[in-house]
Amino acid sequence: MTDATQNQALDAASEDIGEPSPAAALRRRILGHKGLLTGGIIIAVLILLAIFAPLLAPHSPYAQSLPNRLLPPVWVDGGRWTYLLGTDHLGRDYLSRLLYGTRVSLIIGLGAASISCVIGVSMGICAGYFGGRVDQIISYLLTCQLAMPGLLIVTALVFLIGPSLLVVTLVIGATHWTLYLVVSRSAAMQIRQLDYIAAALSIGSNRRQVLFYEVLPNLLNQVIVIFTLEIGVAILAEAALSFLGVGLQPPTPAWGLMIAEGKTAMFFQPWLVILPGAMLFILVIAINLVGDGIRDVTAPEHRN
Amino acid sequence: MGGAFLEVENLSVDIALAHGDLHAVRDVSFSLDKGEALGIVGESGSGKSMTALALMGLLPQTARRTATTLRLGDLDLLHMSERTLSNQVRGERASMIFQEPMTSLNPVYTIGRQLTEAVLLHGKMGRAEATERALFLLEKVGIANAASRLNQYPHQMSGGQRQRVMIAMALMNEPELIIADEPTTALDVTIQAQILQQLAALQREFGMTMILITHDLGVVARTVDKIAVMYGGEIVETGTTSEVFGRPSHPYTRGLLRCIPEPGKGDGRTRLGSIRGVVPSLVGTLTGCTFANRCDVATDACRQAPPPVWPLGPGRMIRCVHADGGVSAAAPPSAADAVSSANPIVDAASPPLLAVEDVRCVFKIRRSVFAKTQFLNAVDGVDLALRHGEVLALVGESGCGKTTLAKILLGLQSVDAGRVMLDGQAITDVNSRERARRIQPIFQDPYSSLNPRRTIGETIGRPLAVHGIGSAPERQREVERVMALVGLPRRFLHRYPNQISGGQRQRVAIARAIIMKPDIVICDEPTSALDVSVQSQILNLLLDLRDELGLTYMIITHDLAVVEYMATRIAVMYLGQIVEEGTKAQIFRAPRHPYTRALLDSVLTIAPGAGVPDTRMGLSFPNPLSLPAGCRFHPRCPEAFGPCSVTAPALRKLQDGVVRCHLYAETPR
Repeated sequence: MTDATQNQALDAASEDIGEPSPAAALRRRILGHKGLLTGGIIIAVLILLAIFAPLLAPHSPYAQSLPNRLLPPVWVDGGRWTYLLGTDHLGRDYLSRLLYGTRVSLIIGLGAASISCVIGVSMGICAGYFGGRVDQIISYLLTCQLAMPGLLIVTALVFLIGPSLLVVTLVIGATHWTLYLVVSRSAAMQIRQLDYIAAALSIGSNRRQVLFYEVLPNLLNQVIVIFTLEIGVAILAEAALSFLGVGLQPPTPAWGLMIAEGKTAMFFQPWLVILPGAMLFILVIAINLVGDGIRDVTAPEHRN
Repeated sequence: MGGAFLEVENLSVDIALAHGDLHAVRDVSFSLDKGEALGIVGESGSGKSMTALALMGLLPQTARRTATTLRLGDLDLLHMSERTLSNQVRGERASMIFQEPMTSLNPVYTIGRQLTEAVLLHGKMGRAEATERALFLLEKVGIANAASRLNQYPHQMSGGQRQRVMIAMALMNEPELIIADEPTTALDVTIQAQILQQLAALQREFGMTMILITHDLGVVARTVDKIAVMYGGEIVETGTTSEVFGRPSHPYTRGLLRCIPEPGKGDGRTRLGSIRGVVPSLVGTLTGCTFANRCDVATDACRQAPPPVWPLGPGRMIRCVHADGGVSAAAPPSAADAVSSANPIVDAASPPLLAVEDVRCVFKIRRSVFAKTQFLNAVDGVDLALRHGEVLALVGESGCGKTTLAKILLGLQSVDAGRVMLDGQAITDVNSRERARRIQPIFQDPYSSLNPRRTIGETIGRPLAVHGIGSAPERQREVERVMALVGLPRRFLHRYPNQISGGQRQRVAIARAIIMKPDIVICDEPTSALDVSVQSQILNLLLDLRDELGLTYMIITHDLAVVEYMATRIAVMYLGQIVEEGTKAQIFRAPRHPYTRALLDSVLTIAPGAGVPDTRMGLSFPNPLSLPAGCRFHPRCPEAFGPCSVTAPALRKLQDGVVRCHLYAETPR
């Protein structure tokens, strides 16, 4: 009740010219959100690193140099300036491999999250908007997907089809749509009840127009948040697959694979595991910061 | 004044917002004697609810309260700790009744537990004694079978019953002060009349002091002794009920009273008065009178300094630059304002534009997989005809099927039997795009009828885009033309719905409805979500558009004041059936069906001191899931006799209307 009163008062308030424009207000909220800014800057830097990896990397990520194997990073005793972050068991430059590994993680993260987004959101909208039989079938699919042991399925699929960047992306994308579906289904169910849908039908809009012009834009906020979170999940899934040896195959410079290769030497050369692990951690936490930030910034009324 | 029971002096509430302070309540003072009832009247955002919450110490956390005095009896509410407030004041000496009976009761506890909880919490009575008091009060507030009700849950009761339970709960501790915040706004008119009557009787019987907060002038006029009119966070006028309504002095009060359709004057030719503009922002530094931008008698002085308070007598004051509230300066209503163009004459013999023929719509309701399927006859054999140029009002309480009927006409709901004919062609044979060009809706809630992600321009032009009419620049020109027609400034084109007010949103919805030049506009409660002063703007606009564009309206509403102002013909619906239909003159002067009469009786016109009328409808409530045998209205009918509970009356055609009642059967009783 007081909310309504306040909203009405605010409503009236927007009449004034003194009110900041929505774009300016959004800008101010973005700049005022520390998490969003931090995450955003980290991601921007990582994207730049991935794009300019050939220019930045001091060595080729594949060049082996057996005399220089298992060199520690430069700040540890025995480290050398030519290999800033040391070398792995085949004498490959670890810094160069980490830089190139950024590419793999970003491609898989964005690719898989986009694929699962398209699958999940389209099924979710259909289930929520049409309801009834459609909803029953899609909800059944959802239950099946949730009941399956995710990693096992992905492992099996990649093993059957054969590991490659494309296959790993597709398989991870095709198995991570559940969150999109749940959220867009319940949002679409709510939106379906609203008068602007009835108004759209009354002006003669067809089904496609209602779904794409009226329903979809109102889901975007929630979907963007899940999208960012799913990028993180996909990156971790790839790392797990590669670690298990069913994901990307050596000698691809991928962080998960690097951890797997380093694990045999973990006790004596811990940086082999720590460095790619730290990169994964930084990327995923930055993505999550951005996801939370977008949610806070775009829906200020749902905060507190 | 010194001996007053409740004393409030210079109460202010500020709420900190991101871009400045919202001055929700400013310098509010009033005092009440024991047993007196004060009505606080104002539109949304006027600060009336905030005033009540400030009294009870229930303000939101971001709010700051200041006052010089805040006293209830011998208690100083201003300097009291939160702990003492909750232990000794709230629920104990002062109680509150809230607007929404659907959400203010906890759904997981029984009525009995919720009623006794407050007393047991304060440790005044034992359980047995508390239960006894709960029973006593439930009977007092008019709940039949009180003993069995104690073990029921809120969802087993109707909205009206829940509000009665809320009142009983507020009375459990014998409070001295009761604050009712819009207690009947969410209820049907007939129930509203019953509840208000009960509340007024209880207030007198228990000698309680009452503050009634409402936007409805009719409600306060009939239930309270004193009135405070609030605008923009300030009290702009106070006085006894008869003084304020008899000689309204502040320009805002006078404006409000002009906005209300007067009974007996709705001839479709007189325009309603309205207050132009919208409520101003209360954020930041305020200079001058907050009403100045909407006031007819505003001068430069009004915009420069806060208006002074003029005492007009004991307990009566206005806050205005003009000592007389500008009564002498006010221009008499101009001719253009007073009369709209003549009604188009409706040819009763012409073929109907839209005909509803024995339409039925049944919903199957199954609460769970194992439950028995229940059938809800939402629309049960309705016949209606809408002729060119008419304004047909469909009146009825919530749950009577009027909105379902509207959806059927818009093609949003399929029928189970019967048919709807558009210009002699079954509407099922007309394709949906063709139908959309002829029939357009205006929905009740302008907050949900506009897509929040589309600009005003996009929303209004959408029908043209969907139908592929015109090129983009042509559509743009057409949108601008229609915006001018409905009184929306051009700068709104690129705004989003959340940037404009409720009344302006409803104008956008109207613009979208008329842009394709339809023949028929179906308005589903077009003004019930709006404030009084905005309601009259919208109703005037609808009548103007009808004259200009030759529209035919079907207005679905529960508000008989709106009906009287707008309609040419009226159909009254009860539990899925039409019970009476006739011209406006016939229905308002000589209503036939007892239900129509009860509806008319429950209209609270502004008659200070007249009290709330008794509708004589008893305590049962309509439940569309279990229809009574015989006449559907007989359990609530004051004139029910022998056959009413046995046989259902047929619809009988009379000379100037139709009626479905045994009182008007062919063979006299």
